[in-house]
Amino acid sequence: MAETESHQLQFKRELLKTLPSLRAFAISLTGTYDKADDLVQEAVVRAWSRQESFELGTNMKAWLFTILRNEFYSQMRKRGREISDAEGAYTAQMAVHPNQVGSIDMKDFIAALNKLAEDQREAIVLVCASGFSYEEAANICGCAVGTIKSRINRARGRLQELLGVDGEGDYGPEPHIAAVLRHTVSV
Amino acid sequence: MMNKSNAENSPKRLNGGLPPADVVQDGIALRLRELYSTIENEGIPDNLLHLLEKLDEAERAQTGTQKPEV
Repeated sequence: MAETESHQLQFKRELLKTLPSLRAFAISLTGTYDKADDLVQEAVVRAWSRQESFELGTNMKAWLFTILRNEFYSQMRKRGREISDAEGAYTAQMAVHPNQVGSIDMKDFIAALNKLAEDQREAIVLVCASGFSYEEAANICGCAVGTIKSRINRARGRLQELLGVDGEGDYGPEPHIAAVLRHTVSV
Repeated sequence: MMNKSNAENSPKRLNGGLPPADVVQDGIALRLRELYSTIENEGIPDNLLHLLEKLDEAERAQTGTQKPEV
């Protein structure tokens, strides 16, 4: 059974490695740390019980995100959509960590993020923050790649509008970082 | 790096969460990334680690009773 054992070990190692980003995604879905931690726990239990069906070498992160997202939406449906007071709750939770997310414009940014439609926030988080490709994000959300792209564009437009910025310039990264990015990233 | 360059055979993108190259890297994308790295760097809460330990123990107990040790 050595093979099984190594499958289990690898499964656990990869699961552990993915947890921080899975948790961050859960926070963006639920709007609070507490609910996010519950959701992550449920997703982990579910993933664990299905570990036989996970093929090593395939994308563990996408697999876990899909499980967590499905879990979240099925709970939402069950609870008849008492969907979060996310606006405010997220910000309030974040305010608990003033040293980490202390800057004024980060608070504004979180508030703006919370005003996005859920599907738009999810898309921009998956691609721009969690690091999935458009295709992976589309698989996770069960929609077309084009849908993900247009949700991201709308999210971006709405954020720019809410923050009163054009995405770069006064609100952007440090000027030298922005300059480096402009050179290294093909837009 | 690898001599095979076809996308299907290359490992899945594990680039530390950086967005795909064709995503515009403006202030919004960077700010979002910054926010999420902050959250990710908070580490894994204890209750979650305990849960994993419990699952692990349960599994060990189960395989111990069902299958002989290798």
